[in-house]
Amino acid sequence: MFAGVGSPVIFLNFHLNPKPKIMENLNTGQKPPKTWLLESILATIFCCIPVGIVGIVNATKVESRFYAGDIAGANQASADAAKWTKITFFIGVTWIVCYILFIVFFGGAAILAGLQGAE
Amino acid sequence: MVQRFWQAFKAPSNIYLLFAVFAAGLIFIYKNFDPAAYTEYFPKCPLLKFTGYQCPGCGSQRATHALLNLHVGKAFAINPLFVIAIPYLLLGFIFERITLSEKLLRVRKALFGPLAIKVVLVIIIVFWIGRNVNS
Repeated sequence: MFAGVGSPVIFLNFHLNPKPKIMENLNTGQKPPKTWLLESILATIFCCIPVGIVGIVNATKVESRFYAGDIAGANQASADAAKWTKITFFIGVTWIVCYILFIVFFGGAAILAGLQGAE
Repeated sequence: MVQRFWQAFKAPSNIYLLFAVFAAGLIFIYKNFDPAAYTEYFPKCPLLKFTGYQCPGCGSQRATHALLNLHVGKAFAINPLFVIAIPYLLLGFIFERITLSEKLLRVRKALFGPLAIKVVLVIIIVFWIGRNVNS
């Protein structure tokens, strides 16, 4: 009964045992949540810069929060990183598809060549 | 009926097959056609197109062409970041897939941990600024 969360027993024990067990497990036994770092770098390199960088920044947050013991924060940052990486990919894929449609259907190559000649 | 076809199609093996065919097609195109010679047929980076500044990934298509023809030096001259990124990313995906022992977890922390990501971020940004200042 006294071992429940918020019970005075735990509160009193706290300074006798300053390093909770969970913290010890963190740095050795577990992998951090998915950082999306690799996907962010991929998306960054395949063009769509400002957004790709946001993904990498969120990846930093995942790792540093995880190793600081803030699991909830790390998961939150992981979700953010996933979101921004997907946005980056979506923009990149849209751009490439538009570009290919432009070339195939509208003779974009000829138009571009004409524009370059005019400049 | 369309739904049924889709149900039958979306077995994982079929998706992988489609992906493999697509990848093989891309490899064929990038090996045999130099994007530098057929500029107008290859998608151009939006940043370069609209602002005139190169992004950190600009030149990846030309570098891919060079790499597929085993001209590593040429690829490195076009976009060093791209060439360095390939082994780093491959290693990262391997680390994501396998279950890690305690020792490997430490290696992972060194290569892909908080400090490493910041270093990567700085490298990308410095490279991005540098290539636009030089040219």
